[in-house]
Amino acid sequence: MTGPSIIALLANADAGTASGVLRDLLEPDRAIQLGQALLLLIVGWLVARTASLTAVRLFRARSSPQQRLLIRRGVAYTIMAVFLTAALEHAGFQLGVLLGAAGVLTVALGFAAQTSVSNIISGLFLLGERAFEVGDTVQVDQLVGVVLSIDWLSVKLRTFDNLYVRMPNEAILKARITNLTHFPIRRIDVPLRVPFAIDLDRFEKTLVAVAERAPLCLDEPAPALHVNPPNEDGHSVTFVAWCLGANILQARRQLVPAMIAALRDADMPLAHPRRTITLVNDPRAGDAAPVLDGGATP
Amino acid sequence: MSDAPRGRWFGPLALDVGCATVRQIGPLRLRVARRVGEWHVSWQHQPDDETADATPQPIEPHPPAPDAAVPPLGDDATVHRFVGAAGRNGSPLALCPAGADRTVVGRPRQPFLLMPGASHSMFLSTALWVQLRLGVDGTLLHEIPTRRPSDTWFGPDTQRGQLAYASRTAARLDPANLPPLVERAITEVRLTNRADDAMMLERIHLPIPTLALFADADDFLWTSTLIAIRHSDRTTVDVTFDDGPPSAARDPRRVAPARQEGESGSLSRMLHRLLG
Repeated sequence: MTGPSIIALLANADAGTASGVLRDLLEPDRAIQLGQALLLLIVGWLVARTASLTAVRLFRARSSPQQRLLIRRGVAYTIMAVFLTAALEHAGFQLGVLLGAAGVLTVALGFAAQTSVSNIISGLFLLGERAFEVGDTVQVDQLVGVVLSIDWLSVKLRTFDNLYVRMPNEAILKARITNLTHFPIRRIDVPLRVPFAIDLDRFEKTLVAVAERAPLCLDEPAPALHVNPPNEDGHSVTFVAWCLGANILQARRQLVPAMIAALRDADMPLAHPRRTITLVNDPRAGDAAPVLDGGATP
Repeated sequence: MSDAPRGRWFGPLALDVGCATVRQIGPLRLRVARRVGEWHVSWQHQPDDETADATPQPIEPHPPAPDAAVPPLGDDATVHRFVGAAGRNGSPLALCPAGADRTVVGRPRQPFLLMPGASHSMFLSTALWVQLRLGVDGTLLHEIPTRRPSDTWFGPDTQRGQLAYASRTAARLDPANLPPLVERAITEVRLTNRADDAMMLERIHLPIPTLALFADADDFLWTSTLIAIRHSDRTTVDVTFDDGPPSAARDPRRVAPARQEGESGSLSRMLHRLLG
């Protein structure tokens, strides 16, 4: 069928009136042509979907969720592009002319859709940089969640209280991202305050023994006590122990109560913030109320 | 029970419907009841200290008896019901031993140095797992560690390596000095130091999942033997395992295959893979 192109049709149809264009589209030959193009698009969508799912199934065993996402999209978009080109050709569009017009259109769209374009480009950078992948647990600013997908415009996260969060790619690219599951093991930090009277070596031995007995805490890297600058309440220390990243909540649940119990059994209480208030009698005040002199105990 | 060898806790459970029994496998207390249409299995771990030589306990504190006559385990016991697996003519349930499901990093309690040119065997033991298997084809229903070992990381840094179990060992040189523990399997490691300096053994990485299990005459369990040869370049260690029965065990017989196929010939070649 050698029907006029849509561009020519728009130019010639009854001096450009909409009714002329509509009349031309409703001609039986033209309608069949457009129907076939539509059918091509539907078939293309089906083929793309089937092929992408098949490709994912083929590579399922030896690919990460991120790679599967890329495979699925790569296959689907390539096939859809082929079918879209064929459908446009079939519908009488002259692709050369369209591409020329697309250049002008892109500039116009670029201004109109700056945010979207920025998100798309940011998405490409995010995929290329591989700071995180689908399935990783990340912290973006104060938000912690599991990455569900990295899409053209946004990254979707599921938080641990089961909220679905969409974050624009551009915002993610600019934000500070902490990938909590990038490395297999993680450190549990337990900050503590220890009275100055307590021997830190004995304190450390007690806690190390607890960590060694906790099955989910790793023997190596070895648990240890980090001593920080003291504060007015006592020694400021951090007890650190390692565990498998996936076990961190359970390991912390195992470790911390056992630490508290062991310190209690060993008669090593933790320091509590304290204030000592000294009451001083001011002789000039006679029987008036005493003066309060407050200060922290060393 | 009197005729049974003293280390035997594994094998088929001869239980009629409505009966139960209890097995004590080190710190693991396991109660198995056969009820109409189901195997009712409960277990609990009693507190213990791996570093202490535990006092041996009777393996079968409650021989098979009517279910109601065998006291249940405490409230903290874990219970599993395997339904549809034990009709009146149902398949028998067997307790089978297995080695750890991950590699084990053994750390001698004291520094262990093997002199230049010396060759010696070292014996250490690792915790066993109890597998519940059903029927003649041995379908695996569940498995329980006799003692949950502590996790550890074995690798050059916190980014690369693998998760393993940790085990403190006395690294005994004579197997007769090992305490007779039914819940552990003994591994003989034949060490040879061909280098001209002493070989310091701070930790040893045992590929337990690739080792088969053997029972000795008393039904205590052994794994295949590991052979580690440190070469004169000081950095290379060839590690192989002898798949045959352990020579130090008395009348050994194979009771369980390895969980995984081992890399034949050489398990690992670099020193850091085996030794810390």
